[in-house]
Amino acid sequence: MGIKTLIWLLPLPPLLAFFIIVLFTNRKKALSHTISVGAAFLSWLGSMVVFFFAVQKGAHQLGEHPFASSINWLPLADKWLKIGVMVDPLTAVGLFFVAWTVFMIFIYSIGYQNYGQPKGDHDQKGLPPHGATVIDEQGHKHKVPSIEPMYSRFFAFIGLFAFGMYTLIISDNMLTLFVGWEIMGLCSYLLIGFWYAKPSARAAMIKAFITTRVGDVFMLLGIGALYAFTKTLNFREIFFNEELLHKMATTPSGFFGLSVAGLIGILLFIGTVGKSAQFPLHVWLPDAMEGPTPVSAMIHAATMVSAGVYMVIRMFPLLSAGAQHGELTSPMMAMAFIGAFTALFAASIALAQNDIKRVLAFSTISQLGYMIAALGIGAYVAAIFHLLTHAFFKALLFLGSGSVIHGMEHGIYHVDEDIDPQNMFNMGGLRKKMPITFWTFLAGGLALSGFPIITAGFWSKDEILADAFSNGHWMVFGTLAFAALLTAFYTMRQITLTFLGKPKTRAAGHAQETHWTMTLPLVVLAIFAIGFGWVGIPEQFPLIGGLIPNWLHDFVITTLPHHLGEVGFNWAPLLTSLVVALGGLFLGWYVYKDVPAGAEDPLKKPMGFVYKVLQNKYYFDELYDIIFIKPAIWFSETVSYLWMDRKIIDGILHFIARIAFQLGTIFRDWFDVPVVNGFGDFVGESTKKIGKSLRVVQTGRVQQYMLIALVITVATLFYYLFSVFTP
Amino acid sequence: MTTELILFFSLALIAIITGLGLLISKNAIYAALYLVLNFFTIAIFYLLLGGAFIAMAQVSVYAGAIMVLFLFVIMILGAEKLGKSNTVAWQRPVAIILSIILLIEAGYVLFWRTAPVQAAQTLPDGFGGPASIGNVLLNNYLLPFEITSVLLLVAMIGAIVLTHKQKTDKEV
Amino acid sequence: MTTTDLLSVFPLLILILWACLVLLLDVFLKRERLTTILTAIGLVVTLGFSISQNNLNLTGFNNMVVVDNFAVYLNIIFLGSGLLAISLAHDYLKRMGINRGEFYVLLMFSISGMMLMAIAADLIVFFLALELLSIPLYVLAAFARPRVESEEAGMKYFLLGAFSGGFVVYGIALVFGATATTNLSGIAARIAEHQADIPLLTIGAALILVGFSFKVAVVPFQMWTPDVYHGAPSAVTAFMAIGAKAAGFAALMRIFVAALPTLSEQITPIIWVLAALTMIVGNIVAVAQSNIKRMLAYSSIAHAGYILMALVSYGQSSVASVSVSAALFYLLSYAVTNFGAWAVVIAVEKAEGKGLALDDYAGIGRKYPALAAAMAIFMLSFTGVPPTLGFVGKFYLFRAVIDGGYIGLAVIGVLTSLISAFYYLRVVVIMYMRDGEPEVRSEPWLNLTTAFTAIATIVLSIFSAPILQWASQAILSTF
Repeated sequence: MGIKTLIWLLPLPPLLAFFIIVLFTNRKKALSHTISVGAAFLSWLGSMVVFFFAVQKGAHQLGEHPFASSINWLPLADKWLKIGVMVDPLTAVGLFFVAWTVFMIFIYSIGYQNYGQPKGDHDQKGLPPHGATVIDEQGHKHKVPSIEPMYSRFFAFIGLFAFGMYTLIISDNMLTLFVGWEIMGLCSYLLIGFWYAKPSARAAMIKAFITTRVGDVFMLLGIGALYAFTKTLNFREIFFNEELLHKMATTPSGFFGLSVAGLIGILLFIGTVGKSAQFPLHVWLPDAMEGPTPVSAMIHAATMVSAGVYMVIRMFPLLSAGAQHGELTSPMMAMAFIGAFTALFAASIALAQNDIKRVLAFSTISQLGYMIAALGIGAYVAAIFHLLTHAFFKALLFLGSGSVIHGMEHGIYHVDEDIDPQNMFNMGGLRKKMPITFWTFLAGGLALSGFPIITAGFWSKDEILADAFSNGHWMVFGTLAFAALLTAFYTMRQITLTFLGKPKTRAAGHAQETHWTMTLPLVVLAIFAIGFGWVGIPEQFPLIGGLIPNWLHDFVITTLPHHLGEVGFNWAPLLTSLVVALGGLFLGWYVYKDVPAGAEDPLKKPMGFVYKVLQNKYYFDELYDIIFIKPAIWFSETVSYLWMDRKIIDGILHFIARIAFQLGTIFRDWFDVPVVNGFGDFVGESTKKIGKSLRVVQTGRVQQYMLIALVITVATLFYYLFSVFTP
Repeated sequence: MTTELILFFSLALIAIITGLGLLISKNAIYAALYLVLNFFTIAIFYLLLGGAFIAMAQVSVYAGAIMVLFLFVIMILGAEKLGKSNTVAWQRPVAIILSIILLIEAGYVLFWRTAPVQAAQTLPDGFGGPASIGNVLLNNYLLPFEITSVLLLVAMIGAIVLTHKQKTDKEV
Repeated sequence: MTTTDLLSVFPLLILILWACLVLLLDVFLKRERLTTILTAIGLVVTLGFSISQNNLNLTGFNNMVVVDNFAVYLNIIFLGSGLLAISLAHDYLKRMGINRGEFYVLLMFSISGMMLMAIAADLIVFFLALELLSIPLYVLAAFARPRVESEEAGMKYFLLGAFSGGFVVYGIALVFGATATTNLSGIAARIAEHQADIPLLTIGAALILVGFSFKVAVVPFQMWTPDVYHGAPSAVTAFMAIGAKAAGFAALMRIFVAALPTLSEQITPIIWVLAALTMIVGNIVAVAQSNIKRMLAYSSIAHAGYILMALVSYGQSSVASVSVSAALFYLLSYAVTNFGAWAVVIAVEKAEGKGLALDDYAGIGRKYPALAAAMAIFMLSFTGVPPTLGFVGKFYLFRAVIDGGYIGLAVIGVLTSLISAFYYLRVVVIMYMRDGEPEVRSEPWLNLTTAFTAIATIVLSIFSAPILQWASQAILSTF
């Protein structure tokens, strides 16, 4: 099997798993998860093989001649619309992080959905499991977690999701990328609303779907415009065609003074704004935490939201078309502005959140903003680098939070206390109860804060800051640096509240480490969260720079037709990132180190009004409610429903329906009733009499058919003789 | 020439009369006999055109074998007298009108041609004889000839299937 | 006779001989199961030989037959349909108490007629092929005798078949009169040399069109279709709906596209009107049906209209090959979907013609989810909803029509497809939304056919490119 065939096959196992589970094995839980995890394993294995071959081929070779294969898919007039797969350096590293995170999260899901636990006492489909009562050998009653009632369905859905993600990554064109993109959108919708009997989950799924749809519509417009202008959707055909890029950058589009490249770039970027939850379409991601935690980790941290960033990274040559001498193009300006703003904006909200997963959700939005901003200022490699490290450590953090929640639930069942297992102010002291979770979470948290030298997050974040600094984008630099400070602060706040100090509730005191299927992925991802940074240490970094070659930079840069240089080393951004990271961590620890049980957030009083604003996420949900949702409801109820639907459209439809029905009846009366029903009635009443001879066919019906045919034929001949040929 | 013309027109008259008789006659036996007569006239037409073999085939196959079968069937069924026709009332006038229109159209097509009418050619020796027909049939038209045999086989099977006593009734 | 002659009809020869052999063996063996297996083997072997003829481009018997890729493509459809028909019939015949070996023999003869039609290049051969494929079908339609509906179906089909055969022969005679030859290449040559009598030729061509219009059930020559489809045993109907239709279109395409493109000015308006009428009447009348077999009959009429659309632009040499390949692809997609739908009908059908009302499908969605899902797929494919074969087929068809410049016809096609959504989706609605106590047969071959066609409907639509490429290579050799 050639490497190209293998690339084609990568997305298929999860898809097959989806169909097999949905169609056949959905009643058998163990079989379903075996199939699903097995499929994820196969894809992982294939991805590793592809990755290995890609690395072996060498960066320059691969950059110029990627593994690519395409087939004709749709004939369009004179040419074919091709679809295909391609592995260039960017795809290779993308495959690497997708394969690892997806596979780990699949394994984690087994434990998270309580495999091996008894069936719940009152569990029902569409609700999270509520625990089961078991009687142990001594006859004591215990309440223990119960298995998810729709266990198989979950594994089917995440399989479909993995298919979408792999499709997106290996696409060599915008079309299949968009297909993968939408499949993931659908899975995101299904999985956020996995517990569909919860009204909050239903609301969240709809919100997520519709909000991302706003972005997708613009993206589709962008794709359409791209095709209309270039007549192709293949990445390399566009990016490696300098003439075409130049033409796109110089042809005015007629909209807002943008060039064609600018317009398409902005439209595509709006798709990313929706998918990667950037301001102002960020509102769906926090609510998406209603889904099961593996879903939050996979879809809403590591892969799907990253896909938004991946897409703009992919399109970078187009977005930057026409940029000269450090000048930014319009799409890049938009990205730099929105990314930096989102980074700060979301980080500030995260300060005042108490739900362990919501903090992470806002943190994700903020970090994605980082990447977008990095790309906006042209820091291509830094953006990819941060995308990779973030995928690992944020998946780790989410899975860790899920593990914490599970441990807390265990404690809650044990002491039968009615508290929110996700509220950080109910936790504390979990360090001793859940050591593996603690250490891995700590690794992830430090990586997120950018703890110097030893964590991956430091290197990637530092590179973004260095890029911004050395290219003179002061505003971006300042905003991102301040956001980094806030990030370190809320991360440490989270770690301190959750793991350090003393248990704030009895449940926290009885929390328990989770099953190995959950801790193993944590450990694996923690290794990446720490170690992955080593592949991208800048050459000129003091002391350790150059010890390990800056492999990532050399590798991914060959994806671009024009290779960007590495930025020079400068002490200022390094010092800044050291100060903000360590300072933020220290402050976070200092403020929250001994919050007593039942106490409020110590910042609530001093910050007063501001805290309330932050806690309510700047009231954006309320704002959107007033300016979009309420008017939309009014419009749909009054204008659309009452006026348009009931009066105009219904009127027309009824009219058409009446005509169609009349026509159908007339035809039936002419053709059907005399022939068939007449016949059928005869059969019903006097089968024997009619059956004896073939009188039925002699009742004139067949003659009638023939007569009609003959009339038509004669008329046709008449038409020929007296109209066509008459001179 | 003139004898041929006289012969042709008198035969044509007979052909038309027997054709009409076939249609109008109320007695099935008479109708069948009209048809035999009609076939004979046609056979003579073939002879006039130099197709001796076809004329013989027409007489022996159609006028002979097939018509005898027809008569057998009619007599066995005892259906000499046609009952009152239970056709729809408007059928007959429509049929007449249609046939008139068709006739006009056919005539129009025949008399209004765009391609030149080619002069009649003298036929080669033995044209239409058994030997030459056999040659054409087994050389140029081998495939249709063979297919026809398959067709007859299929028709036979079909007839047997449709008239064969049901065994399955007992088996079930 | 030369080797080329033999080679060109070799698959046909094999099938006919095999049919004769099975006929004999059936008499001695008296084992219906064995007959089924033998028939399947014969069809598979013939299929193998047919495929091996790909790209050979033979002519044989003094240009009476032409084996081009067009013919090979169609032969594969015919043989595949035959195989599917066997798998449908196997248990069905037993259940209906009409399990007799002649069924398979007649089926094979009918297929050989269809194959002859695909390779025919002489009007006489066309006529013989028409008869060879039709006569077994008449008998098969009446196969469920003494059930009155079946006898009636056979009789009606026979009478109208003979009637339409008359048109074809009359047409052939006029064409012969106009060109002094029955060979398609000869006719084309005579036209090119301006030796043909064009009015006579046109009228002959029009009569041939009318004759084949009966076979493919084009309005206004479709009246027999509902009665025959309804009365004939369902397995036969399924086969008839594909085989006879595909063969009829094969003949029309071969005669008009290959030999008579110069007549397009006169013929196209007629085809335009026929196609439009067929789509409109077929779809609208289908709405009023409450019996699934009659509904599918009208649906097959409507689909004939869609395929006929591809012929409208046959005279434009730049579009003709695209149209032909679009029609070929549509035939394939229709064949797959149609067999699937009929398989479901057979599964739900009970003896004595029960279980055929649309209401009998109520509740299937709950009780037999797999079957309902398959039926839903077929209905969606008939409607032309992606990702199904029907969608891909319609897509190319409409594109070919638009390329030919017949926007009005394409609009009619789209609008009537919209109407068709009503009655196709009604089946889906009844299956899923209404409660009922359906009873469904579960027979291995039937289930296999249903599953196979359902999967093919989806999968082939996603990977339609190779088939399309194959269809686009299946060009007619012109004269």
